[in-house]
Amino acid sequence: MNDPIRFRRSAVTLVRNVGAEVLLTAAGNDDIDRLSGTAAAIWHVLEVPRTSAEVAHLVAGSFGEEDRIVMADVEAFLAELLQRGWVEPVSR
Amino acid sequence: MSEPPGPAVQGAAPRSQPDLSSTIRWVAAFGLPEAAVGERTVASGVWPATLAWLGFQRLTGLGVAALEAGALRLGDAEAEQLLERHRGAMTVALQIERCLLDLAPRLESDGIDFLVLKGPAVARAFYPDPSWRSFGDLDLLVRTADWQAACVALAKAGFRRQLPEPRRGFDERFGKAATHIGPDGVQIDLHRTLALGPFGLWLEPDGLFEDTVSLSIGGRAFRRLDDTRALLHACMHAALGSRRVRLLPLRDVAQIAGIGRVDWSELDRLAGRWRLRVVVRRALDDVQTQLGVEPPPLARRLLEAPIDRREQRAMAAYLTDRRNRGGTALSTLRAIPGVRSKAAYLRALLVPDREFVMARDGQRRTPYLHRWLVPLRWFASSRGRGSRG
Repeated sequence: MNDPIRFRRSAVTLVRNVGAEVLLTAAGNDDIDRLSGTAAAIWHVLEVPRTSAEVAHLVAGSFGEEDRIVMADVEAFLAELLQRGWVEPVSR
Repeated sequence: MSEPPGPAVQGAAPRSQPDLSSTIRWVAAFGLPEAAVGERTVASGVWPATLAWLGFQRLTGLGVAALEAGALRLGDAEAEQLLERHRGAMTVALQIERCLLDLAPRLESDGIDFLVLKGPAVARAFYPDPSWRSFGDLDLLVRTADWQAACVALAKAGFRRQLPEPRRGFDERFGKAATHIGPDGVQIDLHRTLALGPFGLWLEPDGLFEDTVSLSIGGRAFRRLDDTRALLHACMHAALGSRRVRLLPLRDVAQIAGIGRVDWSELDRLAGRWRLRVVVRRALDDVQTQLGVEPPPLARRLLEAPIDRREQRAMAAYLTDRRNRGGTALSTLRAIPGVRSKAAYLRALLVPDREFVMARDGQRRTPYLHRWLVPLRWFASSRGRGSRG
């Protein structure tokens, strides 16, 4: 069975913190993305590579919810971060 | 996901108010191991001025860090205003780093070696979080031999030089840096040396390329000054950059001295060789006075070493009101070796090219007159001192 994909912050991402918010951009990108609330919290837990299940567990824990309640939203958000180039997959 | 327009130019200093400076200095020292700890509450009545000063001194990052640590106590509205101001500062910092990443391949493809100075280098190498350290421009150092090629490369990348050189060849012989403005408003200060005037001339800037360390930004490796030379540069910026006290450069000095792997013997050797002991001493004194942080014990030898009279005289030209009356030019003239070089420098100052004059002075009817009056005032003031003596 394959290991689940882990996500880590991409090395090309330029990051700044503004209180609980996170600002992100990269070379060749005209935008600066602004993460706040749960989105910023997910960014912070990706300080070390994690699977979507691990991220969901940490997010759910902070809300006192079960993992399955937040899993779909976490996966969708990680896919968005991946698509925008702010995170990258690592096999282990 | 939008961003404000390009980096803002710092304006005039806000008006000061009683007790304000102590709070600003406290913020500037926040997080330093040696600094006074404790908490600060800023009353809503003085908050607008406090915020203006934090922005002017580029200290919003340290303010937010103090706020998050619970050391700086603000009302909800004031806290949101601080975050908003810092958001603007960090947007500028990201634009500048993005500009560096976009520009680097162009410089490298033209064979131009460069070092990243100050802002991004100091923020990333020495602060606990680069978000603590704001900056408003990008400082790059190139070798003198690469100066013209670097200016051309910037122009090809769409940058416009703010002010042409006074006469052909002036930059490479006597200049410190030139400001270039990019299409999106990002400002690059292209350096050939680290200070204007005699201290910049006494320095051997090309030698700085031999003692560098790697700096990672956006997944790309750059080079910066090693910690010892970064501290030397921070001291130069803090002591010579402006007559008015700027707290962020002083914080950089304290930060690098406290966190960096500084070789104090090497710093002493370089400061002696380049006649910078007076500069380092001044910066460390100001750190102690303004931020309450004593120099490290290892700095004692440097602080107790005798200071050359020429250094003291050069320093005075930066710190007194002579700075605004051509004092730096006069001390530069003294530091330039050889009569022919002195003559070339004077000629550039007194009879600069028309293009330079128009860019600097605009449509003034007698653009050279006020330049020629400066040395007359030197002469008059020296005669005045002579008669009093």
